[in-house]
Amino acid sequence: MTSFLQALIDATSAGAVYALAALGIGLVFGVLRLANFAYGEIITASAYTLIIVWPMNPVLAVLGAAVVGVAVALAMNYAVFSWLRSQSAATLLIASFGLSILLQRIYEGIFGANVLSASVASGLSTSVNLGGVRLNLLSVVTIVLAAMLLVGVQLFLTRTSIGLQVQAASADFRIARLLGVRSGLVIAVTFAISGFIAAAVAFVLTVQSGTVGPSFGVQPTLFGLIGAVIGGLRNLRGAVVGGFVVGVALSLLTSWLPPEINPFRTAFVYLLVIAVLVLRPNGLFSAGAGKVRT
Amino acid sequence: MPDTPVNGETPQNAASASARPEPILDVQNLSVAYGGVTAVAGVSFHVGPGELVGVIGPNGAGKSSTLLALAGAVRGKADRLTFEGTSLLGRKPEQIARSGFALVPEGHHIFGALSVSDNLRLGEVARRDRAGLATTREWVLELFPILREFLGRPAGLLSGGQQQQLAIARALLSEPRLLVLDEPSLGLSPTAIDTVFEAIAAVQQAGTAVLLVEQRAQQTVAAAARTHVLGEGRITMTLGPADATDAELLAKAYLGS
Repeated sequence: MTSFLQALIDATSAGAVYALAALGIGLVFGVLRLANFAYGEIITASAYTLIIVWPMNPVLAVLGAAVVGVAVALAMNYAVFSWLRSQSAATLLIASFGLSILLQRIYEGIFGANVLSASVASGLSTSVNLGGVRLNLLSVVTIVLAAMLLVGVQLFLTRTSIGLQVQAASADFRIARLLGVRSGLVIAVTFAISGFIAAAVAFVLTVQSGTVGPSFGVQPTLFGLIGAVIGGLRNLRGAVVGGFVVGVALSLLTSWLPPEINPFRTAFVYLLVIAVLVLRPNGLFSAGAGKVRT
Repeated sequence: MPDTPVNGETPQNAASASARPEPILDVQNLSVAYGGVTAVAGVSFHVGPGELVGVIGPNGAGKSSTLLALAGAVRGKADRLTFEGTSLLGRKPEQIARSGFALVPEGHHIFGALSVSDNLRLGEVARRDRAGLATTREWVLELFPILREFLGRPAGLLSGGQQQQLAIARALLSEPRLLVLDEPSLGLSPTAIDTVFEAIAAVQQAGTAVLLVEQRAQQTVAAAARTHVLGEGRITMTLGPADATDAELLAKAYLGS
């Protein structure tokens, strides 16, 4: 029973990380129809900041990671995506692929191809005993952090004027602009928030691994994106739940699959994705069926 | 006019200004083309302050393209295209919306997933300031009392007529000096159409200029100071309120002379 509870908490924590990644990706997709593959490189930039600065000054490292995440996200917007705004979703997607690879090479050039290591917030790697159940402190912190960010983003979207404008732009950008919604501002704000979320993801992952390399952010982005697609990219809440489901599935597969086939656990996740997309092409939580192309 | 001598000119200017006030919207020789296909081919008209001007014409006559070009949503060419003396050419839709020009596009386009109240809040984005906001809100909800009942409800659950009322209410919350409506009666029941036309009359009485594009020729011609008939991207005829009872003329206006 206790091992089940531990596995459940760990799974929830893994789900929370990918839910955050899916949220960051889904927010930008909402306003730009851009599935940003280069989101991982925002995570990586924040992770380098944490690993390099933490040994000198932990507070500065956390603040720096947040600032770097927001700055890299905004730089991506202004340097690349703002020039492609009127282009098709396919063009944006390919551009984000290219940007992702370019940034990975740049990180490699600056920091080398090998991973850098440092122990970040090692205090979180300990376990706490809660009524007989040993809980990984990082799992608890991850869940709390994700919950705070989810609630924060929800409050921002529903309670502030600019958040409402982001929602309007996500639903129908043309109409939003006719109402006076400033397209440039709404897009920049969305990128900035997604960058901040990427920094939070980087924090959790660097505490877990203590290392960072040029392709550090690729895997969480891939799973976040997969989660968002499963949940329905057009529906932010669905995307977050989708990311959560992917994280939970990965974690549970890791705990429960027999050792012989455990290395193939991601294959099972992809199988799940294929099954979902065949049955619900627009995602689990979107209304209606997919486009009829036949 | 920096070169004009001031002495002796002022009274004359004032007199001519009161005789024919500067138009709030001035369109001269506007054309719109989509990749070589001409939708609007040199249209000229104006709207005076507080005036209601109508545009009628069959589908594909270029009515919506004209409005979208005014609002900055599609690119148009014109000898002159000014709103309150400022050129609209090359400006972004959001800049135009924030300058006191509100377009309610065809098909109402409310945000269905958001509440009625949030939709109305989005109408306030284009306001210059929040002064008088409470008064505008109250006035708009008096104009469309049905919206008050459904403030907390998702806008997508409203009927077509209610959604159109919401779209107009949302536009009014920006406190525009010119309200531009693209076929507000499209797809509405006769009662809903009456509500919309009554609201338009009330808006004009409150001093807001209105540019009304419609398919309902008789009602539009009766309400508007001038109604331009658009056909194949050109103004083919201009009617006055007296022409509203001339069924033969209205039919001719539609079929083309």
